[in-house]
Amino acid sequence: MYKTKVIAGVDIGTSKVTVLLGEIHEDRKLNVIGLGQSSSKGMLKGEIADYYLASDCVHAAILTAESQAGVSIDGVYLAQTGGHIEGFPSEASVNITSSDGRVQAEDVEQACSLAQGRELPENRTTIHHLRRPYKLDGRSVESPVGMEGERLEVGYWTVHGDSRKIGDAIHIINGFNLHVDDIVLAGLASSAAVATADQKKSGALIIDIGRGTTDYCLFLDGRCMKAGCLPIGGDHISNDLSIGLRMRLKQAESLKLRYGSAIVEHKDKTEKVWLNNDFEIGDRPIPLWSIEKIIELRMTEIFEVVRKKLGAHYVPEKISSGVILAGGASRLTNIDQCAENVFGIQAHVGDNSAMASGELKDSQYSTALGLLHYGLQYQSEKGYAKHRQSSIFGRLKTLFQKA
Amino acid sequence: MAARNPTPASRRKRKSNTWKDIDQSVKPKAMSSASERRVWFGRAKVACMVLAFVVVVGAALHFAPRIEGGPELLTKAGESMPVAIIDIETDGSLTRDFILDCLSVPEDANLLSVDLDTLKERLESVGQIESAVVSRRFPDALVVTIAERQPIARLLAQRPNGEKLMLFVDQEGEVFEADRLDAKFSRSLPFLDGVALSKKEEGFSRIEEIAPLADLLSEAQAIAPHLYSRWRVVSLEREDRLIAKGPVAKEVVFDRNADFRRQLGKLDYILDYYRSARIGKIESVDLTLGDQVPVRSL
Repeated sequence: MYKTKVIAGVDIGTSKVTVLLGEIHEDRKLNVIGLGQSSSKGMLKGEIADYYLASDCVHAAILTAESQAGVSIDGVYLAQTGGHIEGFPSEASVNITSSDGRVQAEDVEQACSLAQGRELPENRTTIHHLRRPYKLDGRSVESPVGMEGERLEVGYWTVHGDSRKIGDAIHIINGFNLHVDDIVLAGLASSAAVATADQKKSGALIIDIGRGTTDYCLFLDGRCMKAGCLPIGGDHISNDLSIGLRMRLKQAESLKLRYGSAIVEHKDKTEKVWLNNDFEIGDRPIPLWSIEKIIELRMTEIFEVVRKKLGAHYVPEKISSGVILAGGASRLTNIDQCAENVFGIQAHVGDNSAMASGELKDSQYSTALGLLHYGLQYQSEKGYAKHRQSSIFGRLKTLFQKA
Repeated sequence: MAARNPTPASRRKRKSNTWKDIDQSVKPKAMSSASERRVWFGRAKVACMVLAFVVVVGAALHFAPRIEGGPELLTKAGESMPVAIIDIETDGSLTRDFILDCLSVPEDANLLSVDLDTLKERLESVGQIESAVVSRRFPDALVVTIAERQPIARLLAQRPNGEKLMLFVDQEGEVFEADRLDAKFSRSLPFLDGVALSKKEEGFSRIEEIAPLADLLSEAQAIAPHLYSRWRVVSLEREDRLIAKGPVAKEVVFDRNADFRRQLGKLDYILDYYRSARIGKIESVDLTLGDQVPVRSL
């Protein structure tokens, strides 16, 4: 008989809430069995602005997914984004004290706990400790246990956020009588869906541009070196168009979708497009060059901010797989060229073809799919740990460890 | 293994805040109407499960004493099933009334309380009954199947008080009393002579070496009933010989080891010849000498 478990990924975005339900077979295979979506209300730049409105949207999406799958869930994996997300590097080192000069598991544990132990300011809470490769006497190693050396260094990129804002998101889920099993940074979740392990190994920068936020993750040697979130997204482009061309936000959004381009394609300043395209009162011609210029400036700014945030970690030579774009705003025409202009490396719009097929290949599902990927990974590790624990050697090891 | 140095203060693990410290207990004020419905549904599910558990436990407690006293309760339950029908099947001449008398089943007896072994013993104590099977047919019937002894000859004996006693013998040599035997049938049976009866417990010992006589009588009944019907006495008085006595031929001697069909054929021919030739009555016919058949006339 097959052992199955249902997990759920919930992505509360600025434009929409996406819920995906996945069925895990024997801790290895994942099938997506339910999808629920609802347009977001009460969300601003990835953060909860109206608790009750946001609750209604999230609960409606979960209900839809549950009824589509015909199952009832107990816990979810929740994506976290928003301007309050920050990160800092934390490093620690220990001297190897064993008589034979070889690294023991205790040395690694000590180094890791020291690196993770940095105190956070009040009202800040850790989301991830993203470990970078170990360094043993200056050389990078993946697993130092058993190797000879004098000094072991370990570095983390610690992602933290406002505990009240994270708490709000968790309580929305709790309000539906569900438990949050794990929180995953939205950018990291998207990376799991749009970038393959090989791309991460050869270096990749994943940028997920949503309606209110932009998440980024830099992968080198298969490990996330830096991740963060900017409170800028597709909404800002519409806002710029609205102010710059004097129109309502809805009209600006429509113009962006119809004629938007992330680089100036039409140099002829006399070429115009109609605002509403209905030739009624209020409709007027808008120079196409202006639309494209405003969008280009804003997109360039977004990419430049990301580049600036990456700082010294951004080494174009080490990012062989280039920039991979995801999120709703990545559907903007010529966005890959705009990214190439800013970063100076190749860029392309990613999809979820490595993880999903059909409708789910669209990058708007990247975060939710990535959450399921994390859930699968977590269940596999849990299953493996349980298996080890249940074996005779595992039990003996535990006994000795306790002694 | 050398003992490791105690961990220095600088290497002790420090505590940091993680999102897992956030309390996830549900606060009713923070719930939407959909989630309230879900919570109530969840509570109702739990309540149903508790109720089902209570019902199962209650039922177990209620029925446990009954299960413990199972056999007694089954007997009590049987009181409501009195014996209404007694089905009797026999291969002989015993009447239904006689068998019911033998069974003596009380009128108010219930099906589960009657002792089948006792009923079987009662029936098999009747000499004429060879074996009996008594069984229950639910809900309210007893089924009695009887195999009767088939007598081949009768014996005349005397009781200690001098009273005459009619006995019968079957093909197995069993000697028995048969009060209920059809009178016409019993009169048609020949008397058996030349055997010594001996008492055994409540009956008589079995008569040995009766099988050839049973074969002869069976053959005679089948192929020469006109001869068989005239035999009044059959005797085992002589070794290797069977003697039939009757009014037509006073004594007919058969060879026990020869074919009875041939011997009966010869006897029929001789009697027929004598009748047609009007020679007179026959004193004896000896069929034990093969092709030579000495016949003595009166």
